[in-house]
Amino acid sequence: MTGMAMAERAAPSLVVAGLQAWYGESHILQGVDFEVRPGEVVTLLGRNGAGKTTTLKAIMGVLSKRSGSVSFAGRETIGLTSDRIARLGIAFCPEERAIFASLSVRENLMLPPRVATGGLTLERIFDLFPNLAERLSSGGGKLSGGEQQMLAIARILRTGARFLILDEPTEGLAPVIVRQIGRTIAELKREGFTILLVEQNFRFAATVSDRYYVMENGRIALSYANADLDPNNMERLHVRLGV
Amino acid sequence: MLFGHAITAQQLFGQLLIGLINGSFYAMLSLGLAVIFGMLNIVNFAHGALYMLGAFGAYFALHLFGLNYWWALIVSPIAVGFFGALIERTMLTRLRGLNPLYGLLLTFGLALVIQGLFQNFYGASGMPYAIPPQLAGVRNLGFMYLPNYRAWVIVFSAVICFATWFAIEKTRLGAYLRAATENPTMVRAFGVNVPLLITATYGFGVALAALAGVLAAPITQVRPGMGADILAVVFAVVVIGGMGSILGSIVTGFTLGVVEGLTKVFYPEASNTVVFVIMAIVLLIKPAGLFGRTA
Repeated sequence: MTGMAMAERAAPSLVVAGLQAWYGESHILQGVDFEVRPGEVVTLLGRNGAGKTTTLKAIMGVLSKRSGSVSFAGRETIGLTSDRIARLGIAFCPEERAIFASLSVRENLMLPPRVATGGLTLERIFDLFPNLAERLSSGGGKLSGGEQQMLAIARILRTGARFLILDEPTEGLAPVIVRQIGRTIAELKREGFTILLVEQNFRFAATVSDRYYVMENGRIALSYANADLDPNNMERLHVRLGV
Repeated sequence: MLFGHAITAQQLFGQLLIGLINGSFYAMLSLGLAVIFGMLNIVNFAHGALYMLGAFGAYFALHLFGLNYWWALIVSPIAVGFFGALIERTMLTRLRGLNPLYGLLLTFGLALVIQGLFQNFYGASGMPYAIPPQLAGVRNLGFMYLPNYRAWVIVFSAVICFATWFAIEKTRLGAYLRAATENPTMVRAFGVNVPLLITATYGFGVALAALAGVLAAPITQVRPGMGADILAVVFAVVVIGGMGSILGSIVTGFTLGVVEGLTKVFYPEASNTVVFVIMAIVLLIKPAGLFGRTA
């Protein structure tokens, strides 16, 4: 590892402090604090309505009302619009996947603009998701749920962003596809991507994550590193998550 | 003969030509409306007034700056396009997220203001604008005489319509546009400056109207009311083609111009109403329009 990379590793990539956010009048996030260090896979866990997705949206700047601090690579982003935040090198894969039905698969894949050099090549992307190569000329609306999820991840790998935000990438998918997405995340981690994940599926999260934050009522309630997960902590975690 | 009077080939092709000319204007205007509606969800009632501004732009370019028709073809749409961008940035942007009715009312009001101002200064009658010398004259096709300028208008607007369709359906910028029509929040979260894209889209749609205005200047004269006259038919065209459909607005525009022209030959009494009759029928059978996707 070069000295430069070592220095980057020392400083956190993303620091969220006292983050608050609102949907209309409802005060959803009530002061969220956590950090993600370069090269880590960090997962936000929690029950439905705990504020996980809202946290991701607030980081990405797609919520109109938010306050507190979100700094990325040392830069405060709370006052920036979402297009400026994306251009800093954060790429977002939303829960609803947001595949554009009026665009072909190829157009969907090529849509997000490059924000930095060093994005994955198309060959590499088709290595990870061979199914997509066969469906390039199909309409975006014609894909199965699994294909949509693969496309939603694939298109943000091209952009050169090294920080990925994935909201429930395994939701509603068949086990074989969940495993494929798990392998992809592990592969991306090996290539040095930093990933912030939201998951309901703890078993899946445990296969890819370095650390976990458990959210409750719009705050971080607990945090664990993978190494801390002895049977005792597992028990407490299961109670918190209601699984 | 049909309807009791003889129809000469000269008459038939003459009206067909006029139909194609009108169709060119319908196509360019409804194309601009479709682009704007798709992206901004605004029914742009100012479109006729901006078409008129395009024609006046050509007139001013000539009389104030000594710029001929060919310069006007470039300068007037750009100037009116920037005026449109200003309208979007200062007014329409405040209506985002509100009921589309507000946009309709605002642009309708704008149209009245612009048209009223020009009527105040230039009266209701038209001012002549000469056909550029390069396009003056008539060509004898054997079965009819074809004025060069009219041939130019038809070919040029067909090229512009095709280029616009190509840009929207086949290019990267067009993909941004279509994606942002579907889900602007997500496109913005990918790093695209969507508000700028929206302003540019409105400016472009308006520039298309102004370009049609420049093309029309030598044919219809430059007149404050020229936009209001054509807009009623253009809206019928948009309804028939389907709101927001790019290809639909182009095809329907040219087709209805021709239908109108043919009606003038075979049953002149109906020529002013035929488009609206077709609109009523289409609304009954296919409310989303011939090319529209059902919402």
